[in-house]
Amino acid sequence: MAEEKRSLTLNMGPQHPSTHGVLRLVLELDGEVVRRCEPVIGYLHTGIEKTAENLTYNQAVTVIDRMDYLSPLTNNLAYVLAVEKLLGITVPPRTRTIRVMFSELSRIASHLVWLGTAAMDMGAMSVFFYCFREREKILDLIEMTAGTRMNPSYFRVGGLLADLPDGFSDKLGALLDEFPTWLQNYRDLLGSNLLWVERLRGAAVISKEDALAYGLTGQTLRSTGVDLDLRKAQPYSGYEDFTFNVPVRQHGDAYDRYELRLEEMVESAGIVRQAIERLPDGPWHIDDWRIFPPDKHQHVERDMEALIYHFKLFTQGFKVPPGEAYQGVEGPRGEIGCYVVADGTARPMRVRVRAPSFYNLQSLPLMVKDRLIADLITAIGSIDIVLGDVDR
Amino acid sequence: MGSLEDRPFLLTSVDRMLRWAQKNSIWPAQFGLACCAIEMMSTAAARFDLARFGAEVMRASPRQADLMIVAGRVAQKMAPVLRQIYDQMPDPKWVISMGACASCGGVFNNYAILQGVDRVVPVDVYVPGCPPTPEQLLDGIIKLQQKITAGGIPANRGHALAQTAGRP
Amino acid sequence: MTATGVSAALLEAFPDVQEEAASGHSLLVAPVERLVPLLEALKGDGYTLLVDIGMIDHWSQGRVPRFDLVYILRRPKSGEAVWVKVKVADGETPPSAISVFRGADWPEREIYDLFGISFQGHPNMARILMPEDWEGHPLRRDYPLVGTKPSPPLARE
Repeated sequence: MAEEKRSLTLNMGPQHPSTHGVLRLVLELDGEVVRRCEPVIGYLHTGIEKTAENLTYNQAVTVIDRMDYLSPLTNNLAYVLAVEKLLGITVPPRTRTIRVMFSELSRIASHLVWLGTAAMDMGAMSVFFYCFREREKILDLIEMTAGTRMNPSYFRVGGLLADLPDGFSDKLGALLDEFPTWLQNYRDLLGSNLLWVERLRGAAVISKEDALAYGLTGQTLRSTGVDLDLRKAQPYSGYEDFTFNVPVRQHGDAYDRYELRLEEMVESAGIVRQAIERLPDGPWHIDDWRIFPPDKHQHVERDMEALIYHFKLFTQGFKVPPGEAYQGVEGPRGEIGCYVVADGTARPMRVRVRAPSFYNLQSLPLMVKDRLIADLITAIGSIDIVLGDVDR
Repeated sequence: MGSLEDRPFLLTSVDRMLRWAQKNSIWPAQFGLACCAIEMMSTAAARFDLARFGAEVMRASPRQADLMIVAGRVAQKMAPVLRQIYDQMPDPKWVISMGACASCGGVFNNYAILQGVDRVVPVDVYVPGCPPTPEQLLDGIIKLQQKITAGGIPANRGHALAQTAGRP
Repeated sequence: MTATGVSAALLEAFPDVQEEAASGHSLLVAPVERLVPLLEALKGDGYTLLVDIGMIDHWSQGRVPRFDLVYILRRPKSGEAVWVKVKVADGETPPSAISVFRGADWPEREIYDLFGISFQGHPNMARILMPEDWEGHPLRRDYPLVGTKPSPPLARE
């Protein structure tokens, strides 16, 4: 009797510890080999784009935060810059520098979560504790500045929520001083760990042509030899004034992406140090009460006109002239872009978000085809998806 | 068995003993949805150390868990899945609704988000915040422990018992 | 090379494509039937990275045709971006760009799901974000924010 060969269809997720959220994969297996993988998404679809259309321009910052919740500040940056483009305003140098500083801090924080969870997928539990311990220090900085640990909505149209608090630079300086030790710890824990290296090398490979055709950005693209980093290629928010490298690798595998992220954290820390060292004095928001609220103690409590502006801004918002603008920024996962269409009212007519995870995840079936199911776990970890970003 | 006098012993009722054990060994299902899940991970990590309250054993399988922490917004597409996971958990089981979105829809009063997870599963403790800090989640877990110690009935049983009692 | 970055030869080959003023990128407005050849030509011109496909609903202004379909492409070397904009009427089926950029698969499905515009030649034109049995297309401007279904009652057990 001829042996009948059958494939097994396996459902993985949406509740699965190593899918990094509510991702569902339908797998067709031949033994342990993945023949076909079909991601099913939408289990975290939040309707953020629709909700933003129904809020005023400054209110929409809060929902934009909650998309890529590991790095809310880069989401904010893309949105705020797009609206500022429509308004035709430029923010003062101090604002720009603080924005760069916090974007880079949240990039480090996001990579730390990635490292911790990706290592946990491979069974290396202790890395998770180290990464989260150190991430807390960055969250403390964000909390002392913006008032919340996550989703701070710190960047506002025309400025920031608040200026840096007293004692910020000392605390940041202490963090930057111990940063190299953190990184050394991770390298010690993982770099010489045979299991980690062997499982990542040669796993989840994608070619340069495929990466471009699938619209991949971020480390997934840079691991294939394309050195596209928007901070360098199309600088925004004053990135052209900073010195940093864009690390690139050639193999396009998971190990390259791990190395790239570690090196990017070093570069980010360098940018943060440059930013704090030459942080310009001066105003931290634009001086236009129609867009940015007047200071409460200095103006609102003393001046009737300021009170009226303040009231109007928070009840009606500001009007934006008709037009459309797109701003892409280099987030921790790749290009996160915000596409804002204004129709002359105080609410955006359309907010479209170009989510890096959405495009990166699309290439997963390609990366894992005819590979072992264990490599699938590596692949999901290595492209660093955030489901809030995929589903929006 | 010799005499009790020379051995240490403890007097209790089975019920109290059981509740004491349940309270100190809550096993949450490892199940995160959105932003709150990251704070839930922070709660389990080094700084906040959920293990101090005996609830650090996150189980990947709902069949080994007795607490479901709904961490994050529940999309319409996710709601039936969430209910299925809940149904797979053995009794007695408790639910913590973590964060504004899970509790009432939060800032997302829209077509895609379920306006409160209590429309799908019965909730024991609501934790406010967007996202709640780890301290707030710990507080929620302590509140649940108090409820268990006090002999409170899990939210999913309360209604059934009331119905039984009402029957002739 | 023109000032905007798209090569002059390419623009000459597409006389029915208009170049419009925009800040920070080139903007080409194309008729729907020229979309795929234009994308192909732009890919040949170095714009090999598909950044995004988006859609804008101009229902509130009462514009006809109702939708704008926007393709954003980038040159991986310089990061320069070009937009291709196509006007689409409700019920019209623009051609799928999968033959040029394989990454167009999901964004096109997303547009179908949220706007109800289906693409010709797409291998799997199914909903991607919303449940399969969902009624309506939520991102249309005339779809209510809170949806069309009432909230279910509280669960007791």
